[in-house]
Amino acid sequence: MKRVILVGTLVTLVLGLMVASVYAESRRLIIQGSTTVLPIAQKCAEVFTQKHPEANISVRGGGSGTGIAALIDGICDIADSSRPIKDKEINKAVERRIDPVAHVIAMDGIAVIVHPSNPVNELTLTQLKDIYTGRISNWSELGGKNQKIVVISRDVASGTFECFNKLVLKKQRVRPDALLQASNAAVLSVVKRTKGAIGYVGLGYLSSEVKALKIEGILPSEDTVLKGTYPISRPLFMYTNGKPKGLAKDFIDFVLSEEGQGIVKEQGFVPLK
Amino acid sequence: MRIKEIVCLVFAWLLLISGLAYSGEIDILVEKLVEKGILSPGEARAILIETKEEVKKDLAKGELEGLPKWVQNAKIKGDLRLRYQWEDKHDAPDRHRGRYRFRLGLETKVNEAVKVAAGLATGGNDARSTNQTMCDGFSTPDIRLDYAYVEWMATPWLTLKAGKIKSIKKVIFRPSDLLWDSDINPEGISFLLSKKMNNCDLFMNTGFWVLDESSSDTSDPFMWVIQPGFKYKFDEKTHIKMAVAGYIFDNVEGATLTNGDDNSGKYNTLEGGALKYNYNSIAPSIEMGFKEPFGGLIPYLAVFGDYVYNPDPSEENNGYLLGIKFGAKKVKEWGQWQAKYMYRHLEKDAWIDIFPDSDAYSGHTDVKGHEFALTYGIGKNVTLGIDYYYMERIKGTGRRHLLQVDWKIKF
Repeated sequence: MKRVILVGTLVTLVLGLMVASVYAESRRLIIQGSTTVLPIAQKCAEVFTQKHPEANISVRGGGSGTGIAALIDGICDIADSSRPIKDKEINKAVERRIDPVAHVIAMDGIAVIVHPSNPVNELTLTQLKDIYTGRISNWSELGGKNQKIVVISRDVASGTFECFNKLVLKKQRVRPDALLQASNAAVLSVVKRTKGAIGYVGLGYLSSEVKALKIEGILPSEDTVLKGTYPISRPLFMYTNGKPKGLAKDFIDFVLSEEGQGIVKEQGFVPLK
Repeated sequence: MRIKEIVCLVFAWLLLISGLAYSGEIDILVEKLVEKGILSPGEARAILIETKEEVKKDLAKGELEGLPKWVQNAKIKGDLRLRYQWEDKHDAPDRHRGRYRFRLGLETKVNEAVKVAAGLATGGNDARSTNQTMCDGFSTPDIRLDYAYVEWMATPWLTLKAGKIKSIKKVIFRPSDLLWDSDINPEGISFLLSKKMNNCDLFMNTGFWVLDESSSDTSDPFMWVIQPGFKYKFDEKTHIKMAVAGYIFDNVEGATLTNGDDNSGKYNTLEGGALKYNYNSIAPSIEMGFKEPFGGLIPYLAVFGDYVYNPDPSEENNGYLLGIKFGAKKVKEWGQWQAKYMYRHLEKDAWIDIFPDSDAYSGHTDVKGHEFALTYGIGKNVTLGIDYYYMERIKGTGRRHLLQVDWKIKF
């Protein structure tokens, strides 16, 4: 009899542990990807966890490509991305039986910034491309001071660079003397300290310490980005494997709720509502 | 969320059945919903983007109407390599040859888990070469079946390949061609297991490959391989990949083997015209890769090595190769380049002599020497390359120089 009780207790314990671990797993969410989307994901995770203390959410950066690769490899539940998924990534996902479903969670404009003392107020996309590819090297060629243009760009792994590369550079190479920075904050920091500098950052990183230029006559703003009139704008995504379920669904619903979109706005991006 | 999902699904369906012709009309419909206050401008933009993404995914998956799915999923790949080759053998006159290689392959997905591929190539029946020498008054050379196999991804962590499998390097981790010439396409079945974790990818390559078949008895030579290994990323720029392969040969001792080339199957120790030893062996491999080392001076650098030990013979049973390569990880574009150096030492009975790189002393064992290679991109998918070998016998006085200048076009 004692043996039956002992075995019964052990079985109950093991089953209990299994159920508990399955439940714990179901309330665990790994989010990885774009450094641009990172502040939105982090803040949303923080607020969401306050409301749902049982949820265990881990948020990591690494870049859009890293996030999508992690989703394809089954390492994360949600991939943050500041660009649409590429065809080769879709093909890889399909090969691994992953079904990447896009959720647009916000819009972002890439603001082109200069030092506040710079008299130049606007550029065309062609002028901007010429600056970054080395055809224009002095502000005087654009109606500004006789001053060398110090070109600040992002490292090629960043989603911000990929977007800028596609929309502005048309995949031409950045001039070799451009100073590459690892983050939006670093670009902002260099531009605000350097008089002849030009750089680009996500709209959320704009501050009064730098001047945003009009591009094709349009200033980057919530309105121009949402309407799609500002030429260097992009959607921000969260990708899931198939339609989101459980905690992933609850989290994305939260990001798209009024409260979540409020966080999007707080972080300096453009909310959808 | 629910309304947005329904609207999205309806639009995705409309786009699919209309073959994308009415995407402009869908924009108008969304605008109408915004005007009526059902959707906000942001939600409308999101719906249009998500719909486009869904259609893009279906296009990539080949789920649109029209051609059969296997045709939509088919990929054609190939390459043409033109080569000038100079050989200086110590016991024969210099030889200058013009050579070419043409390969054409077709690969298609039968369903989401199963893929079939087949390829044709120039060359004779030598398993280690698809080169065709320019000769015989413009005669027309043969095209042969290079590979034909099925690939079944049973689960995300288990893939099976069976048939005449394309490329030995797709079923074995081999940083160099010390043991396996890269042209070898093994025949048999391979199970490839992999598990990806955060910074560490675990894998295990296994295979059962047929070496020959005899109609007169049942002692057909074949081989087994099992190769557990891992790739660990220290960070975004540094990785190490290591594996240890165990090879088991059956019915090889006492047999005569050939890979179709007359120049093979006779440089291991023979007894009565047949192989004296078995070649069950252990072969560890290692590669360390560094992206943008030396402050970004070069885009990539890797050091690598292979070792093999055959315990059956009591001597001349070791082999190793040490190598370094730097420049672009792969040369695909104009201006990219890669330089490579390797030193190899492969003793007479370390490994069966029908498999090693056929350019290193014609693929014999009992050889040691150097190889230098330089590849330069002269356009997208077009490269120029120089490969130089200086090899000599470990025992004996034989030595050979080999220089190859290659113009390679991939498509």
